[in-house]
Amino acid sequence: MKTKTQKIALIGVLSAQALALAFLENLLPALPFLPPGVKLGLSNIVTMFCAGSLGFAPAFFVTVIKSLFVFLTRGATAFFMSLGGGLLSTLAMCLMVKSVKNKSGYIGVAVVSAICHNLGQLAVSIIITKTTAMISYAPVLLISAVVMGFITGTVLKFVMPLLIKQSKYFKCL
Amino acid sequence: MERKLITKTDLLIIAAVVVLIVISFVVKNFSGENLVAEIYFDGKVIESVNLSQKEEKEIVTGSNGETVIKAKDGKIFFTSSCCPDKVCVKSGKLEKNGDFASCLPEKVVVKVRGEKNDNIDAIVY
Repeated sequence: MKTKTQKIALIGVLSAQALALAFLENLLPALPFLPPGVKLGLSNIVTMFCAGSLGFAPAFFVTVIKSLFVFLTRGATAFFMSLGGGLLSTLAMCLMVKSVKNKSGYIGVAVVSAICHNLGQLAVSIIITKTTAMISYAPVLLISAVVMGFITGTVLKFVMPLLIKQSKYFKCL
Repeated sequence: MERKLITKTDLLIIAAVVVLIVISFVVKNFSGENLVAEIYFDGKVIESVNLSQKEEKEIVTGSNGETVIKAKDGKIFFTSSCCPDKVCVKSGKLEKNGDFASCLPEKVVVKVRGEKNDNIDAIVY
């Protein structure tokens, strides 16, 4: 029997893991062939697990916690970018796992959410700079979303048993 | 959430996105003859530099401090900025039509725009 406390504790641990993955990703040396501003999006793995296994509320919770952490460490601009991308991609994940429950695989969910993440960030950047000039960056963002979606989706498949085990420890699954 | 790694639906979605990417590249890469770099600050063009004529210029702008953009040898690039991430400086040199770099915290965008060459090659009667 899971209690509310156990659920809160699990979400706390998952949020910490999302932050740790984002931090880890920043430590990786910038690869020369990567376009500027493009990142792996490893913390998406945690959000996808939340959306798929725990429910939509935990997924949005982790997303917002992550953005707040970005606000503390990197400032307001980065916060709005993180929140814009995060909310849109989490929404996409939730719709994906709900509507095409057994039709879409991990990679499908990851690619669609990565695309939505990048489009969300593009939208925020258009609002911040008040110019639509950034639209010309969209093709690059789409390509990187597909590639990164493949990577994060595959990683999720392999860490899934561990994440389930962890949730069972908190009696949430 | 037990599911497969990749399914037919996924492949269809990815194929659709790839088609979209290819189309966007085709649309984007019309050859620009007269390359002009436009520098936007807070949504307005504050400066434009003609790259085709190798115009040299140094522009200092920004909303929190100094962001320096330099145009040289038909290329334009951010040389320094007071922003935290320096994505703008890492964007490197812009020289082709559609090339683009921005510094979000400073609200500065640089975009290279090619004017389509509408010159008629020959008229035959």
